Amino acid sequence: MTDLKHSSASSATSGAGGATSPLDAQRRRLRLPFILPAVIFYTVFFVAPSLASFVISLYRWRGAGDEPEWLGLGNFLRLFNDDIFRGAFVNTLIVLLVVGAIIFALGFFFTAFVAEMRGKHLLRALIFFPSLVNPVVLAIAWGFILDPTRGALNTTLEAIGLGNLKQVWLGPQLIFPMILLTMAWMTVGLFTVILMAGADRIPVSLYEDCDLAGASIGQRFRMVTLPLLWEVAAVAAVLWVITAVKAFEFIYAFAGVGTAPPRSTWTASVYVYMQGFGSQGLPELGRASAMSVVMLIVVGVLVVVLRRLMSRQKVEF
Amino acid sequence: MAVQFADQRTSEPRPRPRGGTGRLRRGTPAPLARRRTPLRMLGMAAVWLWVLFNLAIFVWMLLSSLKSDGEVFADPWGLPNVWRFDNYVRAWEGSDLGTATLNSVFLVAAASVFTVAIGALAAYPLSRLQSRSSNVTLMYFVLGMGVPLQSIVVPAYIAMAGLNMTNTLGGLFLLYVGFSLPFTVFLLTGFFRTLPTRLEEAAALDGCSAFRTFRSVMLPLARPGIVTALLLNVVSLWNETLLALIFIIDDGRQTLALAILGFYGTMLYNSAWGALFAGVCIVVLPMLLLYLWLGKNIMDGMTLGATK
Amino acid sequence: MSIDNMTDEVAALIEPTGVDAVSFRGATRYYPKSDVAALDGFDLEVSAGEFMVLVGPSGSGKSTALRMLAGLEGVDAGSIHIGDVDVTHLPPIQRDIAMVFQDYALYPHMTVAENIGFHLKVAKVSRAEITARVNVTAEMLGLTPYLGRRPAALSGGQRQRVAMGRAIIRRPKVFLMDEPLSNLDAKLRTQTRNEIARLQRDLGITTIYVTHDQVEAMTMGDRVAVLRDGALQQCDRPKRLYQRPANTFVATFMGTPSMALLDAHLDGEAAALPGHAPIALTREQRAALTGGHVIVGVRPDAVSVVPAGQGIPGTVEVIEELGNESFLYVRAELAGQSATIAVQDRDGVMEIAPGAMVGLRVSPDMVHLFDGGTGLRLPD
Repeated sequence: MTDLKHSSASSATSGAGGATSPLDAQRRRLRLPFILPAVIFYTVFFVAPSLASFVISLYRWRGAGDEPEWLGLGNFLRLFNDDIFRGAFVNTLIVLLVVGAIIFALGFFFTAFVAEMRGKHLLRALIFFPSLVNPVVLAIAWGFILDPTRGALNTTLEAIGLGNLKQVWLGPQLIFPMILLTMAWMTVGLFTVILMAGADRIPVSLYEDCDLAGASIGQRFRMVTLPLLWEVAAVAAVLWVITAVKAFEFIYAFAGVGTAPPRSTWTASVYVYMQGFGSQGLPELGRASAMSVVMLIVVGVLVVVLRRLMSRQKVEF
Repeated sequence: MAVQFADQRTSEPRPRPRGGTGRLRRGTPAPLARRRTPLRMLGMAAVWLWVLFNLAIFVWMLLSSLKSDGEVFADPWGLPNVWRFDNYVRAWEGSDLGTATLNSVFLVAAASVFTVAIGALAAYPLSRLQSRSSNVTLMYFVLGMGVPLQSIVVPAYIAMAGLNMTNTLGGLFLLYVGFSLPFTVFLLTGFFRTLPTRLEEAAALDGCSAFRTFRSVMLPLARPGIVTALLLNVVSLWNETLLALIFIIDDGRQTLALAILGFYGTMLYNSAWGALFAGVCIVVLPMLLLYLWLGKNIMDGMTLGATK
Repeated sequence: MSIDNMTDEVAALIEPTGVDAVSFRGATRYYPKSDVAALDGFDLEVSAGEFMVLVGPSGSGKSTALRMLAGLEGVDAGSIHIGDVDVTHLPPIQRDIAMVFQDYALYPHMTVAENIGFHLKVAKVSRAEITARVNVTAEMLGLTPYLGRRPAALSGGQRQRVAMGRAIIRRPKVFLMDEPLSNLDAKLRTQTRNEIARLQRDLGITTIYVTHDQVEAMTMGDRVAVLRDGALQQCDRPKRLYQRPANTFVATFMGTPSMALLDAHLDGEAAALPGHAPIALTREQRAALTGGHVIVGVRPDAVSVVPAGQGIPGTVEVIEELGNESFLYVRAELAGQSATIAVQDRDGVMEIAPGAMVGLRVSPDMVHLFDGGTGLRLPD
């Protein structure tokens, strides 16, 4: 059986032998016409623009009609001297770390407990559902709940006699922490379900053996689930980096009701949008591109670092 | 000489064993059922709290969409005094959500179907030919999954402006296809890999050309994967806001996400909160229905990349 | 229904259109990124209408050989012929072969009828003829009640028959079967084994059958080819394989319990077995020896138990009671070597418990002799 498995994937490219089988030869003829449409669309409408942003980031360009002016690395230098950019950059890192810490802690917590509960499929579905809802809509909902004067949270606190806990939730001090909390709430579902799917692949017999050994729920989680989930968690962490860096809609809608979001809430992605398209003045397409290039590099670096940090010997089961 | 095979009887139902007492006990738990420690109880309570909170938020959204504008704030947790179904009419007609919904439906359907169609074509050979060039091609697609959308908006905007395609749904369609392809190809390649190569060999011996094998054997088998890919694209494009925000200016060409954002922006002036929540529900309910119908596919697909 | 009592028109629907011989000529296959040949210079002539079994342990290259013949695997050197045609580079469909896979490879989205008729549909045979041929084939295999079902709703045995039907309906020149019985339970496997053998004789189609099960090999094949590490060891009629194994590998692979191999050294004109009377060698045998060592192969029927103190001393380890016969596994100590020798207890009369000390006596005229250096059989 095993020798059949790798033989079916054979090809004529390498090794001592491996003449192409007549069957593979048939398949090969299909390759180009099948793959080409996707490659073309993807290259033209995604890859080319991504690469072009590197070029544009080297110019000052204020949009249609303006003659692009060569700046070299000027945009990047200016970025690092720009308080707003640095604030946005730090905010992005805060989102990455704080929200990341919350969702992975909760994700593991839910994974440990839901697996043992009745109706776990329903629970899983309800934990997951916010991931399917447009972040704009969730931002609107939270705007209503947290509205300082009439919002459901403050009025409810008042009604149950906890009026002294009332806060100006969306005021300058609290708005960014609120963004972090609500983002965590809305993202936890996806990552929990990923971890749970990983946990589902752990053979039941291991847990049955735990039962025979009389292990507690904490021991089962620490000694079986966690080590065997590590690889899935590593992939999920990479996914989170990508998700966190590009998060835009939620923050934009949460913080900017009809107006520009306050600068204290800007993340890198909001910054790109505001520089390129959102501000009242002339767009700074070059600087926006420079920012997006920085984001791309950050994602790349973080992904590589994460993979290094979390890489372990692969466990087969 | 009769060629007579045995095993003709295996499909017949077997008689059920009967309990001696006349009353059948079912689902007796194993004696090693776990103890209820305080930690366990606390954890389970926390899970329930979280789940109920999620549920409450969505029930609250739904109820708010049926309340009068004043009630939305005045009585956030109660049932509506009068069920204001006309909020939906107000949102649909008064705020142009109707046009936006239709725009979204067409755009999302077209882009999802097209993406999955060309994605499936590409994924099939990529999953089968283990040559260096197919690995490189697959890697080329996978890398795209790590590129933040923000990185393409400026050049894409400039290019679309050059083609006079900003502010058109056609331009949005092309970009949607471009950025949906990496995940689609990745997902479907993984799915095609799970299909047994033995069936292709059988098809080849049966005389199928490579294309016939794809059409008559692999594509029908890949249907669950294709449905999943379609669903995930529908969900992600239905909720896509950044590109729409940048590329669409005309109210008549807005997508639903954009329209609701605009609606929210004007809320400060018109206080049409009931209608706003009706709009919110118009965004959420299709996803909810899709989820109720095909939720397992969606969850499986979203987690596939990480667990495979 | 059987072929004998079919009307001519009906029989014509399933009878083969022709039979052809198959030959492998130096067929060699390397898997990509591997320097070890999966099949190395394989020569085999299968005559028209013959039932040839390829047998060997996993990794012996038997499946590779089959898949090369089917066109599913490339040929790195040598050639493969069906009849007069060199098919080495022909696509599978032009080889006029049908194959039954180990896991049956039934199309899960098609009904039994569609599965069986799929080849004909691809070949653009008229719908009426497809229906007629599917019905005859299904009738022959007892599948008629299941024609509308999907494979998932069938038992293992039924699926196996669908796979057979899909091959039979094609009237191919050659049948290929890749361990078609390994997914069946023991009882069904024995029954189906006989049916396949009979079916093959009825249809007279050249058949190449791959298995790792030596019982299947012995009972089904007109001839059996034994492979090991990509190389052909011996190809002969089953009885000859058992009686005259060409080397120690074939000797131990065929037959249950396995033949025990005992090291002996040449002492004058005989092989000296410690604790046992010398076994005389003929002049030809002595001439064929490459060194001073002889391997004495002992099957269970060539040994008998004698009271402890006589013959080769040993300890009974396990008694295998099979109902109609039983075997003793005796751990024998022969100066410097210890070997487990299976002994057939023909009458079931030995009252011996595990742990008992016994003596063993070998019948000199029933042993197999091999060269100690090459493992090849010495001439008889």
